[in-house]
Amino acid sequence: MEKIVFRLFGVTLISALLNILAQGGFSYIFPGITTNNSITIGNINPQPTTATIAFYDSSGKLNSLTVELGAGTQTRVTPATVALTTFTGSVVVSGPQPLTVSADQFEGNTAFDFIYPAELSTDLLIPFAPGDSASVDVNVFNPGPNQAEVKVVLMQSSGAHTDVRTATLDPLHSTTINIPSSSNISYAFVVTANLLRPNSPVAADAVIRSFAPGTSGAVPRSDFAVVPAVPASEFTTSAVVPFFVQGPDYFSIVQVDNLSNSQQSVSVTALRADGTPLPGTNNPASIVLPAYGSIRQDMLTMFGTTATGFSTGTISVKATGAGGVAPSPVAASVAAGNVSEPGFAVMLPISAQTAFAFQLRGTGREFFTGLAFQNGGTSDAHVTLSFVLDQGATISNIPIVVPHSQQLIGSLADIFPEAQGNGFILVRSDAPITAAGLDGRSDNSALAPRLPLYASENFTPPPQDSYTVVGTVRDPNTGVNGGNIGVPNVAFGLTGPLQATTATDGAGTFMFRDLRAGRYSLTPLPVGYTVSPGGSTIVITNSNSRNNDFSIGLTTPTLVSINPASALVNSTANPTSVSGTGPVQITVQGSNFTPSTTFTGNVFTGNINQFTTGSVVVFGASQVPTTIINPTLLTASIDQSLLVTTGTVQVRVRNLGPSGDFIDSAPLTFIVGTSPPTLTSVTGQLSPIVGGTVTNSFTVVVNGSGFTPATQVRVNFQGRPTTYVNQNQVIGTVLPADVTLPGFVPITVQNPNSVDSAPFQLPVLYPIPVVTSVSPGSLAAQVALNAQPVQATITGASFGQNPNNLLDTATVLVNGTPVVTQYISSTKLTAFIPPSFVAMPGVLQITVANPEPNLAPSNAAPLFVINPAPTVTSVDAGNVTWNPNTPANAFFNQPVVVTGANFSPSAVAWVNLPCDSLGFRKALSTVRNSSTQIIATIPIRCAGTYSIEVENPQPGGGLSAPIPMVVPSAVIDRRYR
Amino acid sequence: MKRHLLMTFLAVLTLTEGAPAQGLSIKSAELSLSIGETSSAKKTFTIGPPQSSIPINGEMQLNSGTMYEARINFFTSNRIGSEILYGYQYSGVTFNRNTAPASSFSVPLVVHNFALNLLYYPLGKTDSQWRPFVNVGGGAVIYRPSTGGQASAKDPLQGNFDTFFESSRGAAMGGGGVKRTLTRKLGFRADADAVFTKVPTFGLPESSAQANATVLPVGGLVHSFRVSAGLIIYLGK
Repeated sequence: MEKIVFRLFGVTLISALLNILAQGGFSYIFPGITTNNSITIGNINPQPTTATIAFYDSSGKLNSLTVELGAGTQTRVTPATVALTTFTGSVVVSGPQPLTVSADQFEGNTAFDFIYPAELSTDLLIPFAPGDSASVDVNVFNPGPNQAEVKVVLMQSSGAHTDVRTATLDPLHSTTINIPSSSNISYAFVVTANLLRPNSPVAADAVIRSFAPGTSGAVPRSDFAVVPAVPASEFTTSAVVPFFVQGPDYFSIVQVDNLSNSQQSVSVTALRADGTPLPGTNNPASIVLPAYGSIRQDMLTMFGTTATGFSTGTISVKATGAGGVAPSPVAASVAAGNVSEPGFAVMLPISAQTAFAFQLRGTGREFFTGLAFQNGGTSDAHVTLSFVLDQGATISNIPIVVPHSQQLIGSLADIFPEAQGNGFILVRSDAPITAAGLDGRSDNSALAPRLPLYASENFTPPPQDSYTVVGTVRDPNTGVNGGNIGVPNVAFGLTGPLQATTATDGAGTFMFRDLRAGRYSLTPLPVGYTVSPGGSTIVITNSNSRNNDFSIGLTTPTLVSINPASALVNSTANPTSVSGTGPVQITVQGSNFTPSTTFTGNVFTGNINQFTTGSVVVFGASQVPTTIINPTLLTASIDQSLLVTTGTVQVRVRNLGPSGDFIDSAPLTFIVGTSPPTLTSVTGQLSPIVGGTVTNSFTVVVNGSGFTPATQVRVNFQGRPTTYVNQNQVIGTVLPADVTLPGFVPITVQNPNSVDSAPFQLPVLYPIPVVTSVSPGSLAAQVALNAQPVQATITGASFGQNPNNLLDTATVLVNGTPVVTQYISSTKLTAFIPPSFVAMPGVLQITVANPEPNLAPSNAAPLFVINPAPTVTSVDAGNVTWNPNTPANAFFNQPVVVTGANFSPSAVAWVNLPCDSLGFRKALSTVRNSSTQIIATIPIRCAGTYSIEVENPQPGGGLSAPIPMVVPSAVIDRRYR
Repeated sequence: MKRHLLMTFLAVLTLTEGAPAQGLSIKSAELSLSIGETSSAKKTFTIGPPQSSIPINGEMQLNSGTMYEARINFFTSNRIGSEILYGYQYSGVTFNRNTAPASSFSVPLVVHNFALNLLYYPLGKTDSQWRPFVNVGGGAVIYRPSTGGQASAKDPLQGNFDTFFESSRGAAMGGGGVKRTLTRKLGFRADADAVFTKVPTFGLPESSAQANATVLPVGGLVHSFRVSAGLIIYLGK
């Protein structure tokens, strides 16, 4: 049993041993559990086991349950699992074998952290507290059997500790002691030790909320951090915190506590992942700490950091004593976060080991997991990572090497991308390594330390029974923090023994699971950008296919036109403050415009907050607010502050990459100028002008005022040859290229340094469309009351679509009335004809009208509507009988309900009487209730079998099959004979 | 403590009936300055219900230490004398817990001893060179934690006692020794004594009905042995 005792701070099995002798098992205590907690319980042992989960609040045990766990399986429990809708207290998980347990806690919309089993002691240390910047809740659980007098000793940075909060805690009870920010504590002890009182070890942790880092530029933290209370006896004269992060967007705060009642010096060293010291003017830092004193500084201050790039690594602390006095124990911790986002996590020292596990949650890439493996030994560590689902199925096994004296740091998406879902990562190493992780939301709004947990040395994951294809799509350009950003939402198709599609997640990772052996083709399906390579062939035999990596490329946008292409210069000193002078809205036509997609990436390799892909208009050197309408059309807003100087401005459309890279279109010129001449009319133009049909240039006469010999006529905001006539008239030239596309072409006039005049909109007409056929050529009349629209395909030519508004298309007209139309191509449309048009037989006139401006609708094509053939399924005349004593030639009229289908409004019932040989004749009357029911009135003249049929009139229609109807003879009671 | 001193003083005067008659002549006055060592007995204790369902066994030890004494001594007759004693000792008290988890905690103490003793000289005369004697007397002992000791006792990170302050106890003492004249003005003196006091508890209750109270269930007397040696200054010669 003693083999499983690892000295892991905060997490290890030491806490599990509290009842090992008394109960012959292992127990794990989680103080500070609430309704929002989920507790993961794993059995990473070679044998099955059971686990009992008991919930205790401030008044004692509330509820519990026992679960069975197969070897290598996990389960997840919440207070709701034991029917607790609200809960605040502690949870104790116990079982006959060591378990792998952790809990995750969510607060509010974003904040979360992990809670790990708390160790029991009469003398606990909370190594990091918020100082005067935030409050802290100390959660305490007393497992009994004695009542505990719990004292939370609030330690000032000077070592003073006159402020003590006391709580008396009965056995199996929880409590929370709130310490306000005014207490200004750097760290805290939780003690129950008193040699004149019964031994009363307790378990505790601390929750820090609203922490203000005090680091330059760092925002206050809305995230919270759970800091475990560690037995003070576990601290020694040295400590290594396995993770810090420092860079343009990240900060780390280092805290060292002197746990001695005498002054001593400490040496603090920051090493980067490659084992080299972090560059700085004071690394290592030598610090004198008073008795019980502490120091807390960000890394820039403590080490005089000169490196401006992104760094990760370890913090080592060594006590050196003072004045010939031997070194005493110290505690070290690191608080890390993003500068501009409110995530916050506190990391404590962790010991090296050879077998452990990380529990994973089945989240998407809106969360990330970063992992750090440090090898402090002198030989490389050969490590195997295995990802096993909660149910016990092995998804993947991969080898990695951690070089000696170095640290391997990366995101889980990079190191082990197939490790996704509820499960655990089993880590086995041939040399002791120190592992730590950091989970967080991808936008860094929350961070939480991911700690290694128990795994049996004897546990072996089961063999894989299916395989995985996994890879990553990255931007080849590096982000500000180095590395290549994973690109989300890139679609992939996989064909082979199994066909499937997927898309990359927030980290740029894609994965196909549950594959059997075989040959597969993997193809990226990008939209709006390129992905290389264009595809690959994968052969799976008996292992996963990994590292199927791709990179994206940007497509170059093209710029066709800007409307308007000029704006009045704004001469005010502060244009934006002038009421009524809002931004100028421009419409831009072109191609390869890409909508913006905000996404996040990898915390360790890039700034995950600021990047967007998509298109943006660049006005001069300024990116301006842009709205993508479709791949060929966008609008942009030009602020008045960009219009203060007359002249021309180059306007481009820029497609952005995720790492800040971009590619620009060729520019068009935008004019910022003075008031233009006045345009009143344009005459002399061709009429009509059909788009794409003009082959020669033609002139137009532009009338107005303020013209000069330098006045220029502009078509589509492009200057054209102009002849000055007088100050009220100029003649401009329109090129065939100006009237290629149907629509309204702006014709303006411009003087030097002026903007364009108000435009004259020259109509360029859509051609007359041609309808060659309608399919189907005829339709059955929709006689049912609930009939649906009928679909018809119209084939022809010159069906138009407005390039600026793809929804503005040619429209199908039925008898001159437009109906819902789907534009397929310039030669094919689909019309959805309402049932009211086809309820009655006849001929419909089908035409097509192009969008405005157009010349005329197309020719008409007929669509025949014919009656359907009716069917009769039953007739019902009630219990009608014939009295044989009826006088000859007597009869009576009998209504008959005829049921069937496709009865048209003009349907007629026919009847054949068995009383004569005259055959079918019309019913005396026919009333159509619906397409499925008719009331026919027929004469009854004898007993026998009548035949009834229904006829729909021409066109189409016809007679249904006859249905017999028996009219029995009435039975005569002999008493009345 | 004043009551103890007064009673002791009256008792000594009663026993030394000749003293008032002789008026405690300054001619017989001696000032003795001595230095010595003490050794005190342990006091065991057991803390049981209601404080602890499992008995906590431990012991309290008043630590040994160097003792400094000053005496003013008078001869009231050839065989009888009396003296006033003040003793000072810097030592400590140690609490040992033997029940698991075993632990120990010490508090530095300053011990003040006040006494009136009656001395009986069985041999020789007042001017003899050697004067063995036996003595008996009473007084008080003050066990006062040092400032740092009291703070450490109440410090949650050290003693974590709810309270800890000085204890004053009546004392009875007896012993013997010998005096030897060295010169006209100086002499030598050696003493060996046993001192009995009620056990000090430093403000902690010996028992309590409250389950969460911190108690120190030590009762009865505690004794210590002292040996000292020093010089006598004959004030009347």
